[in-house]
Formats: sequence, C-alpha cells, structure tokens
Amino acid sequence: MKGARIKFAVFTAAVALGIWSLWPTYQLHFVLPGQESALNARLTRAVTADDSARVQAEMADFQRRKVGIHKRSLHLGLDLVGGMQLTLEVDKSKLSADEAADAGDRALEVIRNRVDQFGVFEPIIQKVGRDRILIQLPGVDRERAKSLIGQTAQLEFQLVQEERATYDALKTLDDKLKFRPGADTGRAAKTDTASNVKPDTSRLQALFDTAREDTGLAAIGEADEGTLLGFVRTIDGDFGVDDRDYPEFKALLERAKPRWPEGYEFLFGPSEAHEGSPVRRLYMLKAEPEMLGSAIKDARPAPYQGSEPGLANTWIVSLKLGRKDAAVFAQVTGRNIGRRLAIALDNVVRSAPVIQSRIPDGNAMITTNEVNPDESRDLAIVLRSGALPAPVNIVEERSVGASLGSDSIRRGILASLIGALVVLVFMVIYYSVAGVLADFALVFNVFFLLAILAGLRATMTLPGLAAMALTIGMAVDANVLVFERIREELRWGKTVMAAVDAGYDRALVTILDANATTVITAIALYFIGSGPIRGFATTLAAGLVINVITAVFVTRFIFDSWLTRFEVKKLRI
Amino acid sequence: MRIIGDTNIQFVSRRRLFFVLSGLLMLASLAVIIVRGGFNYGVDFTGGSLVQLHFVQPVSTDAMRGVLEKMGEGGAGLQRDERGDFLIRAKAREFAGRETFSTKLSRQLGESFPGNQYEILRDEMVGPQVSKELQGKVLLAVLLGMLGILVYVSFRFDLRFGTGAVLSLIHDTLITLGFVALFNREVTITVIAAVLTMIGYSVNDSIVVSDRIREDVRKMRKESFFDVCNQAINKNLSRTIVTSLTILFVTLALLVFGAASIRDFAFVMTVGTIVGTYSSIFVVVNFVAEWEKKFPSKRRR
Repeated sequence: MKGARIKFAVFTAAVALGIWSLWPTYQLHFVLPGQESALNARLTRAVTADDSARVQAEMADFQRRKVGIHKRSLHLGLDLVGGMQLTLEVDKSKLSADEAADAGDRALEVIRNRVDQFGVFEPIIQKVGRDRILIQLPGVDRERAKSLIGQTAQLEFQLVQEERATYDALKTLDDKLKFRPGADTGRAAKTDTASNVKPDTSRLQALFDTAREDTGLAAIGEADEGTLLGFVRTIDGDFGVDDRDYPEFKALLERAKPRWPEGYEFLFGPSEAHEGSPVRRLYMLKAEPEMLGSAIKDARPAPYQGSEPGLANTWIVSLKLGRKDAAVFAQVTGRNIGRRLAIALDNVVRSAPVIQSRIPDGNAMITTNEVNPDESRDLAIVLRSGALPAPVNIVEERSVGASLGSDSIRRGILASLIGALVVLVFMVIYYSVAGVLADFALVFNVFFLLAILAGLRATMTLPGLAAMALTIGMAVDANVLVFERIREELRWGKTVMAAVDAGYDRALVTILDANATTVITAIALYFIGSGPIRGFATTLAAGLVINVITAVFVTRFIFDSWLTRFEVKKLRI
Repeated sequence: MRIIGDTNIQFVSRRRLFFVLSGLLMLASLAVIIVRGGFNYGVDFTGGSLVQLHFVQPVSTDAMRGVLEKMGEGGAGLQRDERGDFLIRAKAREFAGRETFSTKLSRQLGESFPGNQYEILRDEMVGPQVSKELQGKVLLAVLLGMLGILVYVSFRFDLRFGTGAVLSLIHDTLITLGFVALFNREVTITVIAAVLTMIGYSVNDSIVVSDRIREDVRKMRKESFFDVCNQAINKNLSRTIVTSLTILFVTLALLVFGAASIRDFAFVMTVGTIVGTYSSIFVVVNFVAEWEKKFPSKRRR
C-alpha cells in the first residue's frame, strides 16, 4: 500500500494538533476547579500573615493563568453557563446630527466603565452596527446590572485631597474602626510596599505637570492587619489597592462611611495593570464637584504642539468649555494651582491631572505623555460622554439563570450520549466489523469537531450541542453510503479489495454532493446571526466537513490497512 | 445484518398514488395551519417578554394570575409546568428605557409574596424593532438556503432534479410545519434552524438517489429511464432507511432526554427526518420520472 506511512503520519499529526487545541479546554474544566478549591482551602487554613500572603500570591498567579487558559479554550454560551445578554440601542431622537455622530462610541465607553465595576469574569461588550451595543455578562445580578447600565452618564470634576491629608484620613478611620467590635475583616497585611515605580505617565495636564514628589509615607503597607492602611500601597505616587483586595477594602471603607471626613468622599480609578498585576487607584476627593460634565463643549484628542521638549510627539486632549463655564473654570484653576482635579465618570476617577496654571478662556489641554493616541482618545470620549449623554434603550434581553444553564448542559450531554450510544451499537449490529470501523470514525469525528471549534474560539451553545448530536447521526451516513456500496459490489462477485476500492470511489461524489446542500443551509442559518443559532450553524458546518474527511480518508485508511495486514478474503459487512 | 434485502418495489409506476398522498398531506397541513390561525410564534418573532419563574415555596396559578393583573398585565400568557415553574409571556410594547417587563415583575413579586424566594430562570425580551428585523433575517435565510440548493442541484445535476429537489423541500417544509401547528409547538428561531437543517438533510437524501440515477443511466443502456429510476430507489432503500434511523436515534434522544428549550427543535427534526425520508423515496424521483415522461430528454431517445 503506497503512501501508508505518510497517511499514518498525517493522521497522527492531526490527532496531536487536536489534543493541543483541546488541552486548555480540558484544563479549564477538569484541572483548574480542583486547584482553585485546593488554594481556597489553604487560604482558610492559613494561620500566619506570611502564610496567607504566600497563598494569596499563588492565588493571583492562578487567576492570571486561568484567564490565559480561558482565552484559549472552547467557550460555553450564556444559555449554558447562565448570564445576561443585552442589546442596547442608542436613542438619538433627542440629539442633533453632530451630537449623534459618535453617540455609539460614547455610550460604549460609559457602559465599559460601568461593567468594569461589576468585576464580571470575561464580559463581552461590543458595538453591533452603528448604534447598537451587545453586552454579555456571565452570572450577574440582573436587575442591578440592568439599572446601572441604563442610567445616564454622570461626569464630575472634583478636587483631589493631598496625599498627606488622605493618609491621615485613612489612619483616623483605622483608629476609629479599631474600637468597633467585629471590624477585623482584613485578612492580611501587604508586605510589599510597592517601591519600584514606573513614573505616572498617565494623564497630565494642560495646565499641568506630572512631576510629583514622592510622598515618602513610609508607614504605608506596614500597618496592622484588618486596617484600611493594611491594604493600601503606593502606585506612581497615588494610593491604590490590589484588585483582588478591592471588594474587601471597599466594604471596609463603606462601613466607615459615617466617619468619613466631612465634605469629602473616597472614589476609585478603573482597574489597571501595574507591574503585571491589576490594581485600582484610590482618591480622596472633595464631595462637592467644582464643575459638571455639562460644562464641556467639546473634547478631542490632538497631537501636542507646544514647545516643551519632553512632550514632543505625545498626544493631548484639547478641551473646550462653554462661555459661562469658562469663568467658573478660570476661578477653580486659579485658586488651585498645583492641586489635582479628578475627572470622575459615574463615580470612577478616569484621570486626575495636576492644575498647571489658571485657564482663563475655557480652552485647556490635558497632556498624556503618551506617543500612542489611544489614551487621549479614550479620555476625550469619557469627557464627551459626560457632556453629551447618549441615552440607551434595552431592545433585546436574553438571560438564563445559572441553574437552568447547568441543567441544560447536563440534559443536553445526557441526550447526546444516549443518542450516540444507540447509533454506535446499531452500527456494530448492522455492519459488524465495518460497523466498528464506522464507530471509530464517529469518535474521531466528535474529537476533531471539538478541536476545531476550540481552535476557532467558537462558542458552544445549546443549539450547538444539538448540532453536535445531529452530526453524530449524520456522521455515519457517509460510511453507510460506502458500506452499502461495498455490499453491492461484493454481490456482483468482486474480490474484497476491489469491492472496497470501488465502494469508496463510487461513493465519494455522492458524499460530497449530499453534504454540500446541508452546508449551504448552515451558511444561510449563519446569516440569521443571533448568538445561539450561529453556534448551531458553525457546529453543523464544521461537523459535516469533518464527516467527509474522516469518512473518505480516515476510515478508508484503516480499512485498507486492515485488509492488507490480515489478508482478508471474506468480508462480513 | 440486513433490514432490507434486495427489493424491487414498483415505486415509479405507482407514482400517481404517492402524488395524491403527498397532495393530501400538504392540503391537510395547510388546513391545520389555517384552522389553528397560524403558528404559535415565540417572542423572537412577536416581540415581547418571556419569563420563566421558579418559586421556593410553590405559588398557585391563581395567585400568579393575580400578580399579573395587579401589574396591568392581565392579558399575559401564563403556564405552569410539571415542576411548578411558571412561564409568562407578555405582549410586545414599546420598551422605553430600562424598564422591561421582568423589572416590573420583580418589583411586584417582592410586594405580593414578601419572603418567598424566587429565581428568574430565563428572561427573554425582544423589542418590536428587533423582532421585525429577525423576521426579515429569517425569511432571507430561508429563501437564500432554498435558492442555494436550487442552484447547486441544478448545477450538479440538471433543472429537472433541481426543481424536484426544491418541490420536495417545499413539500417537506409544509408538512413539518403542519405538524408544528397541529401539536401547537412554539415557533422560535431554534425551530426555524431545525426546519432549515431538515431541508438540508431531505435534499441530501434526494441527492443520493439522484446521483445513483445519473450513474446508472450511463451504465444501464438497455433499461428504460423508469426502470433505472425504480432500481436506483430500490438499491438505495437500505441506505436511506439506515441513515434516517441513525438520525432519528439522536433526535428522539434529544426529544425525550433533552432540556425543554431543545425539545421543540428535536420535535421538528424528528418529524422532518421522517417526512424527508418519505419524500426522497416517493416524491423526488417520481417527479423527475413524470417530467421525463412529459418532456422526454433527447439524449436518451
């Protein structure tokens, strides 16, 4: 048999590739959950602060690894894991043509900002068409999510309290909390006093300047367990907390809310990467905003054109205010030179530039110190979203509770397995040895199908699961065609080898023609475009293509090898 | 093992009988659809809300009806399944802002049954605009799918087979939809997906037979075209039935053991597979034979 070695090599390579493609999926569902619960168990057992800090560091590593693996594995749709899918439409009816132009982008930015606050694992937020936004949130409190997402954006400019005063305020809060029973929720003190700091290149200032002195607050991070300061570290001169401590820290801070210094509030920045781990900056702000987002007439990203050499080639945001607001702004900036003015969108501080000089005419710029325009573009959108709200309506919602999702998976897999099992048994009874061969092909089919779907980063939905079951039913069709043909040829008195050859050759065209039509309908279905149906169409099309390949090449190869090796003279089929 | 040995059933000469049978089935389907007043469309197509609700402490249908009436949603559809979960269908209306039906429902449930925990298992809301778009997309997909098949079959075979394939496809779709209406199954996007898949499969079946005819016409020079057709059906009978059986094993498993939301899909696939098998044995080839009788192709004479 010529080329048998090559065929075998190709087949082995394909299997290896399939295993490689499915490996992350296997890890995600069968290895990681065990590791995670083991880590959690160790965390609860940890006695000393050292122990628990070590476990927490491992936990952070683990989470990073999980995100990486998750990205490379076969995704499960919301109908299987539970969660909420919303389609929002920007309501442009009250906007002028000019305002409506980038309303979609503004709404997207506002929604990203809000979804970020949920701390959902792997949310999907994307623009669909011009004015629609699709949001997928696995497992969230639906009502809270809906009401948060639907709100109109609120942008405020608030003065930032100085570092020293912020530190003192936190310390005072800690002292007060200590005398309250049940305040010891803090798990561990942070020993790492974030020291090696990359300079705060983010958002700087029209007006402004980034060069900020190190505050030299040495005590930070060395405070007692269970205290606010125990969580806090310095990040480029700002205070910040680790993202994984954020919920606990926030709860602690909220509990102390009645004792917050009068006229001030604490807000956080968005989650950002700092030395490889996610952190959030913490700001103490004057509660009364100096100015509202409605003051902004326009905000655009632009290249820096001033004379300062350090800023050459960087991007800035140029900001225009209305005439009345310009006067207010002149006052605010004039009185607070050297202080920082936070730009807070929906109570998330997106930037806190230092006021460089008094801005008299309502034309300001915010420097970013970035050669890349992305940051200035994002900030400009944030500023405009506060100025020109882009109200959104929910036009479609598809939510599935987690319990229903897992029930669907369980029953879907059970049904598919039962269906597949009946098919497997039937094939062996009906075609004896050849049936075993077809069963082999079927198993490989399912394996390759999963591997390809994982490789395509496709999402497995409930209809997708059904499509998979269907391809199991259809997978044997190609083999049935071949086997029936072989039987016929044998009846004409051909030798086994000749009958098998003829059977495969004659059936090939039929197999291709027959599967082509189903692929055509799968493509048509794909255009309907709704999530679960796309999953169905993709799975069906991929399944059929693999069917043809395994039936025509894989089973034939095994068939041929078997016939030559054992010199089969009589074939029971 | 064999289910069907060598057969020589006279399918083609009895074709008139099958035409009449198919015609009657199609008429009956139409009648059922009309008598039922169309289909039971899901929220995908009508727009509106579908909420599946589970209570920790069971709530009676009357109490639940009361809640809906208090909300001014007395017209909403209410169903209680064997597990005591409720399926509520509210009519389409303009969903301004973020107040959807389920938001209002949650509020009312909190008032009416304080202390009784509930879980919203499923919440689907399709705005009127989106449902209109979906209708358009589905129609387009079905038409594109049919056109694609007609073009492919005409290209690979000839117009006779192409027309036969599309006719059988209309035949299968109509009868399957008749069953959907008869059993009052909900027509959702998933059901449409099943109809399209079934169409693909039914044509697949027809193609296998047509392929055989094409091959045998060249080989069997002495036999008449009718005999060639008849033998092609007989030769393929075993394959047709085996393949249909394997698919039916799967769709029946889905129908019996699958989750509720997949059962409508499995129902359509099951009916569609049976009808599709029938049509590929009794309809397509007979149509081609009839065509050949009326307009004999010159090549063979």
